Amino acid sequence: MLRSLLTAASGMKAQQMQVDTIANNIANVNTAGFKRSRLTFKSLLYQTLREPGAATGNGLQDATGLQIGSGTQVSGSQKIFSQGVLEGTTNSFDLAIEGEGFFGVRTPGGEIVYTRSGDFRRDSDGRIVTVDGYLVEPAITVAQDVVNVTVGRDGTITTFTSEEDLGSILTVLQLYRFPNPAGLKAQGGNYYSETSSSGPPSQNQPGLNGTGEIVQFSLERSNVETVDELVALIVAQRNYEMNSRAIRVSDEMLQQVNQLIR
Amino acid sequence: MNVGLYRGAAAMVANERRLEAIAANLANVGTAGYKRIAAVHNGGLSRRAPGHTTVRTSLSVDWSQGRLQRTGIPTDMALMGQGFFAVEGPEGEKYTRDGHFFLTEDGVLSTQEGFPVAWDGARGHVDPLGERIDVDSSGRITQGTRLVGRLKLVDFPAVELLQQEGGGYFGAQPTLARGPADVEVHQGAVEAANVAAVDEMVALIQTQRAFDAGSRVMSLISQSYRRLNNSR
Repeated sequence: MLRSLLTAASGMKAQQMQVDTIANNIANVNTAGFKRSRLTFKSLLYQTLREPGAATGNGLQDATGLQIGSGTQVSGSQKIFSQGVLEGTTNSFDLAIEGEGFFGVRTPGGEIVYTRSGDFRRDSDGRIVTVDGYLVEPAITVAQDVVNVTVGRDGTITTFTSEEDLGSILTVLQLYRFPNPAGLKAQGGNYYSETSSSGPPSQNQPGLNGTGEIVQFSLERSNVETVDELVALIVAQRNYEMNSRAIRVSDEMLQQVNQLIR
Repeated sequence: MNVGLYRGAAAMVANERRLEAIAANLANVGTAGYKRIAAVHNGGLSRRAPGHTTVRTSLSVDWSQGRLQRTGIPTDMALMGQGFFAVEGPEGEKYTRDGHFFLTEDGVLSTQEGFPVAWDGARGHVDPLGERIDVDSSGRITQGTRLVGRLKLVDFPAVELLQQEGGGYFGAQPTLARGPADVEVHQGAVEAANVAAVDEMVALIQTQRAFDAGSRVMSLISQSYRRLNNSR
């Protein structure tokens, strides 16, 4: 009886974590460049009370054996890097990636982290930075007298110093791709860092070698579908309830055993 | 001693087993590729006391198809029909219906635990930075125009002799006969657990009531002995 109590409890814990994940996805529905997470579950170890195929005497075999599962566990969380919808803006440093790849930015600590969120701006020194002030990697500095900037789909940044200026190419923005983006470590603030599972990044010009293209005056919205998340939330809640039912029944059955001796 | 007392106890034990199976099914309702445990009570005839039956539980895996859940992720695969994916576990080949795979940084298709997926023939190598992979219904994987290989899909004529190993894996004795699998592979989907919540809830109620009845039998018999002892 204790086994079914613990088994059902493992189900409740897993569903609780599922709700936590869904809540985080929903909370970030308006975060630019946010990628939703999903949890995967695995069954826990089975306890073998009777081996399948065990001899039962007279040369006969047990047809199925007796194996009892001991519940479920969360085996992992996975970021889903599907494309989010692009939303038009009026800021010339709002960049979105259409396709695969990440922007690289350098934290004040010197570490390079990666993001899909391209809401950049110019700091007081003319450097292109994220909202947190992290420098775009490799660093790009726009001269003070520049009045207009265009970013091509291939990442070419052209600057204009006046209305009549024909423009001069400043540099080419680089994107980074990972062999296994699902293995990246989410850092909060929409940043990801490299892990041994993600593999080392390869630096690419946008549009080349399968890397996505840059869209200026756009931000990538989160890829969270509110309706899907709400459906998943309802399912998780009902599953939680069902597991709690199993606990209650186990409890009532135990109670009955205790009442056998009066 | 009254044999009914033991039969009441046997009914309680059998229903306890059944409850454990239901609890495991409910806990795994969100586990991809999970196959529910079906509990069957059989009345066992006792040779020594003809006509006396006790209940015994056998648990077996219900191999029915789970519904396919679309995920849109190219490395997710679901099986439709009878058969298993083979993966290279640390202690030999294991079999699973959970097609929730990943590409490692070196382009090896593997499970969440990092077990490489087994291939029909040489291990296929996917270029992790290349185009997205395409999987056809026979398990052939192509990347762009390049054929990567074919997944190893296995079926067992005596599927009930597989060992459940947890984590959605099944183990097979080396002597167990293997055959070609009659399955379709669906890319971008995973097979949901084949647990139907309503059925489990109904079974839960039945189990509780049957357990109830077993304990009633025990307490009634115990009461009659008490009366007998007090009647001197």
